[in-house]
Amino acid sequence: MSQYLLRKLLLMIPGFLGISLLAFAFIHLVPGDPVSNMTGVYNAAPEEYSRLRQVLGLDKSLPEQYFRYLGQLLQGDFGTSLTTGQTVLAEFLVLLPATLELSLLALFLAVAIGLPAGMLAAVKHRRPADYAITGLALAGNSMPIFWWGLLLVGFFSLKLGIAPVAGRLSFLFDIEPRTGFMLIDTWISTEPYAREAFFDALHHLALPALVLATVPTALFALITRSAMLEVLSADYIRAARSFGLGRLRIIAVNALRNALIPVVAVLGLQVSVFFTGALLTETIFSWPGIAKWLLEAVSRRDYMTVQGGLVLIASLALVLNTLFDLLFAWVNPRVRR
Amino acid sequence: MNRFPAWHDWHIPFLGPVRVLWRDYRRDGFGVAGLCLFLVLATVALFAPWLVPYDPMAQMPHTLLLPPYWMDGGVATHVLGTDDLGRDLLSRLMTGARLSLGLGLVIVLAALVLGVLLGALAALAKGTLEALAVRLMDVLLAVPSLLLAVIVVAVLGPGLGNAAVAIAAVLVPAFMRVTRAAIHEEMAKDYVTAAHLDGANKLRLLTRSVLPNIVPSLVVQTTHALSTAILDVAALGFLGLGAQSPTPEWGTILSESRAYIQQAPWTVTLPGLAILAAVLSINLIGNGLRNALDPRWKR
Amino acid sequence: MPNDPLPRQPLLRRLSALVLGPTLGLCLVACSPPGESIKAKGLVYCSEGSPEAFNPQVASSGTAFDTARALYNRLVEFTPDGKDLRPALAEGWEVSEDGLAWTFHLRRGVKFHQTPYFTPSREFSAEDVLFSFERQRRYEHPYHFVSGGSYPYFESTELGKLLAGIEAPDAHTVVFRLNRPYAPFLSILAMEFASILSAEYGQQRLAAGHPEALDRQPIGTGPYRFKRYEKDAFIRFTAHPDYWAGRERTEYLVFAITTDPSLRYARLNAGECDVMAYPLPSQVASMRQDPELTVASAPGLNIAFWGFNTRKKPFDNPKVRQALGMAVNREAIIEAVYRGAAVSAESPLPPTLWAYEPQLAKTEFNPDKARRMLKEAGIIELNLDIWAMPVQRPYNPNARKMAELIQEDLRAIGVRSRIISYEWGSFLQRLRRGEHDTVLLGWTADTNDPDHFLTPTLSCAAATSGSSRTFWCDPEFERLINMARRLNNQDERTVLYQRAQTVFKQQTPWLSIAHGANVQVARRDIQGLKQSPFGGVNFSGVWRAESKSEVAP
Repeated sequence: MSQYLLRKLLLMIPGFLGISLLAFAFIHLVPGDPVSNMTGVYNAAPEEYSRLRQVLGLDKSLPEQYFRYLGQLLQGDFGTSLTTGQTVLAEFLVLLPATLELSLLALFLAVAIGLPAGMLAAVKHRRPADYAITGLALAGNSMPIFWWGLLLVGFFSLKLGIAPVAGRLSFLFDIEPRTGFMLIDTWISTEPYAREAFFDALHHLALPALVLATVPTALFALITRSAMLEVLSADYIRAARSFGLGRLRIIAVNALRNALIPVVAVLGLQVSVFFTGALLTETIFSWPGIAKWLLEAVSRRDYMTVQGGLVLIASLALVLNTLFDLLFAWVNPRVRR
Repeated sequence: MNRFPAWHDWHIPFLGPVRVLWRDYRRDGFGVAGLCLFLVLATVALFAPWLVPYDPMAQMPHTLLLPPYWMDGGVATHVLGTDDLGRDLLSRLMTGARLSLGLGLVIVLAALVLGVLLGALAALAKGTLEALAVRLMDVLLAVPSLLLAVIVVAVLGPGLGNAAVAIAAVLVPAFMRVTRAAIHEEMAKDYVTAAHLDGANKLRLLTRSVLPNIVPSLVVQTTHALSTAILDVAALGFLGLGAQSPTPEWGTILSESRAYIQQAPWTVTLPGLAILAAVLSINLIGNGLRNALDPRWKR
Repeated sequence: MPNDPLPRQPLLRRLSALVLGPTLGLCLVACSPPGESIKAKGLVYCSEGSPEAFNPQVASSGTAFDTARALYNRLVEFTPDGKDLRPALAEGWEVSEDGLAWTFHLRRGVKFHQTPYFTPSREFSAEDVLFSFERQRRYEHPYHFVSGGSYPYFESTELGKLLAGIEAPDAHTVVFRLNRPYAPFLSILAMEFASILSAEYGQQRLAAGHPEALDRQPIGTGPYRFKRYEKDAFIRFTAHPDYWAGRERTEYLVFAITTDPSLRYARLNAGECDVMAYPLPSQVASMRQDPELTVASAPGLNIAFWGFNTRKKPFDNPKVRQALGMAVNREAIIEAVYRGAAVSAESPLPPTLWAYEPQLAKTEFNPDKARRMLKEAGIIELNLDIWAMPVQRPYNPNARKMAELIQEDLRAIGVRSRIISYEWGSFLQRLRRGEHDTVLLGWTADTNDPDHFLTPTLSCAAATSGSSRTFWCDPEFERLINMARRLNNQDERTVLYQRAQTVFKQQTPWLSIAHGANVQVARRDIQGLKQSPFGGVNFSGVWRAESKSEVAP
């Protein structure tokens, strides 16, 4: 296992190089003048312009510029936003918890609903319950969640008025951002309304998490179902049954563990699904996370933020992917080759 | 003529591969339903210019935000109602089907051709070149696809054409991976080794023996890519990075009507339903194909 | 696969419980009522964007000015209806005979905000006035180049050229010396960029080596103190306990930054915010029917226009411009884009302004005549670009939609057109370079002086600097507005401005489309909100009625 671990970790290095190359190419491919794109200074006087070119190293050859850029990244310098003047890393770290909080709750919901639903469908194979769950899951898997989110807001928030429309917390609650995770911050807050704010934060999380969880839930249900069907028809389960082991015990102990493997296998792919979902969910619910941040940087043409954001988000995705691969190897020894 | 009998399934009477597929596919009710839905949508898309009751761009200033025919205040001449400039929603959605399905197909075909070529090259290449190609592929696959598409749009600028290029580019690595993995798997099989030993030329082997055998994986991947492409075109349109109004692209229509969710909810509901129908039909087909092609489900 | 090979057990129920459990739990959470404990003392405003700075001197957006009105005061300020000026930090003022020296007597006992990051040691004085103006005026001021060194309004009003000097004879008197008499001077001092900042706070930040904090963590004399800001999320204020005009009844003020107008409406509807910025005209109709909301609407001091780039052929020909104007059905635009919340425009000046010319000829909607006139001008085939601004403003709530309507009108007279839009920043930049054929844009006045309508948009100076999007420069028009600017007599000025409007109409550098109404929507229990003709919002004197009986019917 340790050898496998080492190899996986080493493989991340070319991954990071690839990402940095991508980001480096980005800033040179973007339309407009690279000096303006990197500094936000337009119409600079000729002397000022050549000075900026020199400071940015744009007078050097492309490979030299790339190594310079790589050096900056290695020192933790991901650039400075052109609109706020803050470092991209600082902005990223402030906004990341919002996205993580939403994604983690959605992941929890997806697992908590998707797995049992898939198992139920498998156990009731070719019965109405199976068709209902499979049908719903197939529809969920095809859902344009930006539309789904609008529908839910229209129904629960606008029509029934029982869910907040957007945001992370009612605006009048003033909570000191210590961890950035609203549930934790409201829990540890010393304000007199802290408990009220905690439930308010949960209340705000409910709809966005549900929307973000839709596609993964459906996916988990489908995967669990087919894995479970396979396992249930496998010889060792039949054997176990013939030994008179109880149905619940068989499912819980043998079948479930083996059925979980394919679910863990797709967790790595979920990083992409979750980010895509976050991009749309955060837009609909005005959720101040990294996905919305990046989108706004694109529309403001803040290319430094886009570049830094690309590196940070892609690296995060790479790290998570590797982590899930390792987790997969841990539960499924067969892949540790 | 059967030099490589190993891949032939002797348990079924000999039928053409397509007929075998259809026989297996037909058993899946969801798949058949998906196919029917897809055929309806494809017909609409194909014949939209002749089927639409109105010019999808024509503004009728006296019939703004008419509800659909079955709702109070709806009229039969505008079956699905009108939008905020008095344009007929049915006509716009039908024209949108042409954009979504047609463009989706073009995007996927482009990505398929490029992905298979690059994947085959990666499979045949050896040493550092292969390692490099594989690493690059892995990185591109690890980066969230819509993020990449947004970045490409940031470079090219918003617009339907640019969004299509972005989505096609993002779909390529998945095809590469499927092709490369499938070729590797096939190449390791006995019949290929045998043929190789027989002195068969490598390229000939690839085109004659290996490629036909990776078609199933590609078909499944293609349906998956098609549904992704349609969803992403709509998502980019919704985010304002794809098609721009007045182009009647479904995602763009949806984002335009967002402002009317309270007064005219049908302008939000209907375009979304269209997207859902298109994506669902293709996913159902993909699911059915996967089941039909997967030997584990054949009994 | 054999059907259900295992005996039936409570398992199914457990699995169902597993599915239903989280769903129900979620619903329980979702169905619990939101907190009400501090709502009575608080007020939430759904604003349209993040301010670029918390200092109106370096900012140029209405968004930044809305926050500035909560944080700062000016020497003089507009009355809520925008028609008059009233004393604020200056209790009184006088102007010399020759119109060159303006003396202001400052209010005593005005306290700056006390916050965790600054404790004032003294009250407001002449030093603060000097600090606020000299930063913008003098290059050698230590703050001049902090935060970019650009002062958009100070520059566009050309106050730098106008001011000969500012003096403080004592701690409570300030004298502004001008180079020439200038009628709109006092109204310029009422603009947000003339807000008064604390000199003491400035020195403290400078000594600490963080001068830029002045523009990010504001200290002012205004009704509300700055508390916390999260970009694209919210700005928090608390009432200034020692406010010179009396402490506000609203203790907590929050700007909930919500860029999407439909989301703003949804939030207002759900009671998540109490006041909403820039409602879409299409929403206003249903807002008026909602008993929970009050809708206030006032004619705006603004203009939406379709401008022609007069440097490009064939738009240099007034005939062509008039013909294109005749092709546009402006009534349909007011119906579809403004939903009736606008008055159609002929002049560049709105009818509520004293200098308005009511006798101006109307541009009729006549496609046949338009086609004929184009032919007479020798135009056989015409392709043009319509640039549609990408942002929503009271004068034009949806330029894109307007462009689509005009596109159809032009198609009817055989002119083909393409709609072009960029992100706001680059849109303005490209306009400045004159890349456009025609553009849908507008103008909102910052004061009630007609000069602030005409000089920045239609003068020759504006054509040279690029702030005029038509690049139109007419000697007769120029002569008239230059003369009017130097006079202090309103009747004489009116005559000159009316003649200038006639010249404008003959030349048609732009087709005036509409004057959009400023609409403000609030929940019913919000009291004291006043509608300004300049747009924007002011929360001084706004509060929530605590019981139903206090709510005005």
